[in-house]
Amino acid sequence: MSRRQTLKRSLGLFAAIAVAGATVGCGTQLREPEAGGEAATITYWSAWNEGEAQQKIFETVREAFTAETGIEIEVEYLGRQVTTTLVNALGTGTGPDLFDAGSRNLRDYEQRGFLADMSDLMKTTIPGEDNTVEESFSAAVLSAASGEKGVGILPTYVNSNAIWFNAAAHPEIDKNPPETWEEFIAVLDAEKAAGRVPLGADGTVPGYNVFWFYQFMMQTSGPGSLRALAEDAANWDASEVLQSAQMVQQIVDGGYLQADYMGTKYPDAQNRWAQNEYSFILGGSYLEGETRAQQASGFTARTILFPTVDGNERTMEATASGLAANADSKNLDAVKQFLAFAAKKEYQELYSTEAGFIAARQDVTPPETLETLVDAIADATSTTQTYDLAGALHSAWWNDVLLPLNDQLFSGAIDAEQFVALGKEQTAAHISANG
Amino acid sequence: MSDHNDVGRLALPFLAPAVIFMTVTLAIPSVFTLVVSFTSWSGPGDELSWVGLRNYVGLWSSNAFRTSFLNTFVMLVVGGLGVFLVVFASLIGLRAMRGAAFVRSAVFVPVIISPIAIGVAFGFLLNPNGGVNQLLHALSLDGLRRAWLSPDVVFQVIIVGLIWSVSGYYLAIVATGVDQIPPYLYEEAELAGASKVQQFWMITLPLSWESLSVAIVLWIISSMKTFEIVIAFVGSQSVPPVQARTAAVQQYLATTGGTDGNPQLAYASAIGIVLFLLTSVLVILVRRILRRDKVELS
Repeated sequence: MSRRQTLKRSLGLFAAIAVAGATVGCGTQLREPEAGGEAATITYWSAWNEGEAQQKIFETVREAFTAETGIEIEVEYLGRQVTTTLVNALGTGTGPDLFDAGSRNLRDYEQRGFLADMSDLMKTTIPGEDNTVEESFSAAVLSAASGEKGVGILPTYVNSNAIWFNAAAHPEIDKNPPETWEEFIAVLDAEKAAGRVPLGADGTVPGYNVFWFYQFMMQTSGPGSLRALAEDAANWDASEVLQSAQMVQQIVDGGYLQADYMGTKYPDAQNRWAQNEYSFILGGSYLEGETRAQQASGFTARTILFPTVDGNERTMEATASGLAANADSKNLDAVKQFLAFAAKKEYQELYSTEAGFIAARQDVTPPETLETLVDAIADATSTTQTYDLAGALHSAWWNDVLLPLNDQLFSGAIDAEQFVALGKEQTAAHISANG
Repeated sequence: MSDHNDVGRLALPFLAPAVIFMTVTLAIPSVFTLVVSFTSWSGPGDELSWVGLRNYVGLWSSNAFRTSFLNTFVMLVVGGLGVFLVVFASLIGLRAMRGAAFVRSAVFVPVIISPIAIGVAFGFLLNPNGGVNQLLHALSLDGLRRAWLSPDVVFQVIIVGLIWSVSGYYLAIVATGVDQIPPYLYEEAELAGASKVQQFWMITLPLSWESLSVAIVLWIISSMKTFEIVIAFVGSQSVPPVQARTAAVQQYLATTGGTDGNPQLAYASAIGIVLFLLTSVLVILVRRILRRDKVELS
């Protein structure tokens, strides 16, 4: 072990102690992975909880895999709070063989050296099929599953972002959806004129409020433009930034949103949308699943793609989530054998049929509600991932500069020009203070 | 050899487990946190690099941190005034009142309710179409209706919520001191024609000063760490708006990266150190201000 590695290990050990109770407080057994032996045992710490659809899917795959290979998988279903524990364990060499990761944290994990190389897995033929793992995914999904050094996870499902509406109440929009921003505004005006509330928003969620500005940036300047705003204050001078902010202001000034939307606590607005109180809501591809229990009878949730701006090519979000292998795992061969097995169509399609998600595999039929989105992602030549990775790559700027400023814009407290001026000023201050 | 020396020699092995435990779980991590605050480090697996005071300078120039810091002080002072106003009013009102024990228990109930439940309940009540606005409408007070959970208003609502949820705890602490005061003092005061408020200032307050001091110090420490109640009101779906953040919330965002980001542990450590130093200074100051000769109750 080199001196630097020794130092890194010692610091890691300190960190494990320092981050209060992270590795002892969750009732997880931490043990060194077994080296060699007969049939290996794979350890997996899951971000899912018992009873969730994804947990049931994993159990199905696990049982089938053990029955076929004799390789056991020990699972801890730890829920979303697994992340801190996981990062500490992986950083100190006591992590599981298998864990959850996605576009949001791929690059961070890659930089910390947590992710095993997946290039050989990608070239592996899926058991019982003719295609390799790589061939079963579209370019957009592979790109979303990649960091700087190539594919980092086996993608299992994809999240995206769209405008939701009830096709039963608006058959004309289902047949003839607005394509451009001007057409969409005309639809909103017509809804308003008919005495309906065109748009619902859970305004107490800054991460939802920023969907609008994020989408406008993607449709005006394309992938990379939103995160560029964190990287150099001069990027705020681009005319598309002001244009995007002006379109957000257009939504606010147009009076399309429900009264007091900034004080509406999640999930009130999306539930009221499901009850036909609002015509449209901008949200993630998971929104239909979240509101299913609230939907009025006959409700047919469908999406329209985010409108294009100035005839630009449409940029689609495809955010991947899936399974990662620990770079330090002593069982990498067994883990990759499992991942190739988990990539089989019969298991991957459960993400669509059981969880109502967009399955990562391109040959899985999506849930009917998500067909429009899935087709658009498959055809897209321009794709991005969650918030253009601005939150993932520039977390402090995202939380402390952009989200608060966007809330001011989205609430009408400041106008587009002020938003750009303040954004530039605060970004410059942030960069000079944080290097 | 004397017995005293034997005791001295015996003390070490008896103390050792506690000393070792505290060193490993408190002293070493604290020193590590201090060291990390002078580095650039996102957490385990990342390379540590020395950046000197950069994290502290970054805090100072961060609009979000300054706001969260100011909010923490507002919480400390305004929330503290509210909490101890409730405590004093309860002590005045509850003296010799029938059913006082029941009222004291009722005031204590919010302390044991989970913040998550509080968040859900308040969300239900404070939504634009929620119970509070409906009640105001029913009372023809539409002018008072607000978007209670919007970024500009929510912090004031959180302070009220905090006062409601913790006053019972501080009342219980102060009341333990008040319960020690002999009833005949109040009887004499009554005969002398002292009002309830005068009795409070002349008897209750001086004779329960010790427990009140403890309560105030505990309030300072806990209000500097205010976190749960903010999350309860704004939800965990995204990051809290800057207007509602406390220093502890800001530290949590740095520690976790928020809902869409990744951890920045060195920055979080710097926030932790600043919070620790300020809390220590405040506690020492307040202890000095509150120091008095103990009144003997014979």
